[in-house]
Amino acid sequence: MHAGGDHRRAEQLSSIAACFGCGPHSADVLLSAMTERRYSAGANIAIRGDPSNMLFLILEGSVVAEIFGIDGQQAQLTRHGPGEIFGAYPEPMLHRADLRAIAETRLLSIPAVSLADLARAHADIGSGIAGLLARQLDLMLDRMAARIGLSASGRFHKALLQMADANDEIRPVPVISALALSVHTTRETGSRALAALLRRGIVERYEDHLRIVSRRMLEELVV
Amino acid sequence: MKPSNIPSILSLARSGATSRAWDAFLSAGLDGVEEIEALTLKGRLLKDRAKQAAGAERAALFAQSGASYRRAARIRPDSYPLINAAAMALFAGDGASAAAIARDVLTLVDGDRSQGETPYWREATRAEAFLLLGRAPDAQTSLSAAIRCAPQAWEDHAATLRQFAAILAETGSDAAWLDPYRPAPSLHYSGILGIDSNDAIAAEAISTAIVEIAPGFGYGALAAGADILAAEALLACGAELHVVLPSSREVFCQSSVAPYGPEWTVRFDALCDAAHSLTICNGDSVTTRAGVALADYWAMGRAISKAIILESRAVALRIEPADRPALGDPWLASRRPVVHVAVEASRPTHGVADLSDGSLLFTVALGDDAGVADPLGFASLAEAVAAIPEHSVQAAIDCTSTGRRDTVAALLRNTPVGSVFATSSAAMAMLTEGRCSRIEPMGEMETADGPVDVFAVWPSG
Repeated sequence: MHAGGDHRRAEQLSSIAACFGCGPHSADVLLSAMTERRYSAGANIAIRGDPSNMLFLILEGSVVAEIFGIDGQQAQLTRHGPGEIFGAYPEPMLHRADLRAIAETRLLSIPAVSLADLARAHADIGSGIAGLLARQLDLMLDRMAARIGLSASGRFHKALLQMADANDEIRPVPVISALALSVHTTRETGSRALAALLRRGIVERYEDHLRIVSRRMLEELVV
Repeated sequence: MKPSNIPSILSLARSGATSRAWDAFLSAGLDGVEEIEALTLKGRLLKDRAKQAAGAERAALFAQSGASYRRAARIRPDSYPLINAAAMALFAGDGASAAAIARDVLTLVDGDRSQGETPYWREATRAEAFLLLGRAPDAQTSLSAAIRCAPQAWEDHAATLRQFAAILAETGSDAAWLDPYRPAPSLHYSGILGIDSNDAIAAEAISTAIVEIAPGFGYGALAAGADILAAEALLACGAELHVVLPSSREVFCQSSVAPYGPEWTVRFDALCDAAHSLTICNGDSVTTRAGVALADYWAMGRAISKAIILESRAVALRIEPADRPALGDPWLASRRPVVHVAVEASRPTHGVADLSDGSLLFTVALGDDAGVADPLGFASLAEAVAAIPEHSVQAAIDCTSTGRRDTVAALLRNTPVGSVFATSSAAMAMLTEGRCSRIEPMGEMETADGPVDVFAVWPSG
């Protein structure tokens, strides 16, 4: 495999580990059952009523779910962003809505049945799926209630604080794209947030770890 | 251990609901809690209340604020609460105590290299202590050293500049010496489409203007012509480029770049890839004039917001024929500087890629003692802001190109009593037109259309 392929695989593994909250072995098991799919902006992913055999994890981009209302107008049910899941689990079903990419979008797909088998065989994959589904439920309820929560950079800052040990160190240096995905934001937002922390000296980067220099200042940025 | 309700009380304080934040602090039983986090929060809340008070009450609240910070510093020696205690003593009218505490700060910082949270704040704290002791030359030397420690920690430099300006005002001293320390200005750029991709004269004129302004940050779209030339000039002079588009990158390229020639598409893609940030401000599937107007508000508002945060200047660059001044440009309402670059249209644009109109709707939702009324819709921001009573109990404002009013209704449900909340679109429009004095980020509201950034705003005019 060439360097680009190695890099992409490493990024996929980090993303899976971050989203499923599982170790590298389970991430490798999951990735071997997954396929990466790319969609251009505006491309249809599925039509309402189509068989839905897959669970999808969004690595990059956004997907909208749309239905036609009784007035014949198309209405948006929801919009899924980075780190979110949609599709079928634990069994195949029919798509309830039209699904369309609204930006350049990258997904990992896995057959629902395969994922259910893996969940039964690997406790940490089962636990990871439970966590993912719980977070997705929270997100959907937040959307229904139009609740105000932390901003994307606020969530990223909070994740850094949660990863730090008693010495305020984060070992090893996290993969930023995967960490961003785990808090439902983009690699760009995560990279910009970390760059700002490094620029201000709130966090220092070393070869094998990050060090939080001022926990109070980082906590103030959890907004 | 930090009491769990401190973040929500801080959030209330940041939203401008000063009285409610204080009430929440008391209700949580935090008054009298001798822990560092509770005491520094109390100091912050009392300081906020002091700023809204006058005369003897103002001085008393500043004194109480200083006392809280000082008690926090007694639990664990820490230059952060201690320097705040010194400044609060000065604002309370007790210069002698301010000087005495400032000397304690210098002793603490000199004797413990771990003080000051970050290398910048260690030196900046020393500078503030010198300033409180009336030693302005030493303060300048320390401030220069602080900036050398973190030359790009612009937000921190700005916090220091704001604090120094307040101290100098309190002591009746000249603050002009702070100006050289201010970060580079923010720039909003826009201009005509009708420039040929090989128009070296236009490119040179735009580049010269940008070099003269020397911005650190540039905001705008990337339509073929003036936008792209300005964005290229910004990158060439080392500024951060923040691109704001009215539709997705692909849709915008198809509507406003590709029709003017493939050479522009290549330059558009290169700029998108090189930009520090790329924001799509609208979920519309086509580029409309209303969407463009909304993106302009976002780009202008973000340039102004950056300048406010960094205590620097916001400047607009308008690239257009000399006989076509920017009439109706919302920037003019902000009364901030505008630099005009006169260019000649060097290629036709009429009929190449005309956009459909669409329209912007400004929506306002109000809550009062009687409950929540249906959202109101207005064709202009001025009318919408005027609909918010001066002593509004609770208000929310949005700006939309879809005509939907449910976002503002949902936002009102999240707005604390005593506050006005705005979506990004409305907050940026208000900043652009000078219809609010400041904005404060409050988080992200989840909606079926995707997340919406929310700001507390302080309407004016």
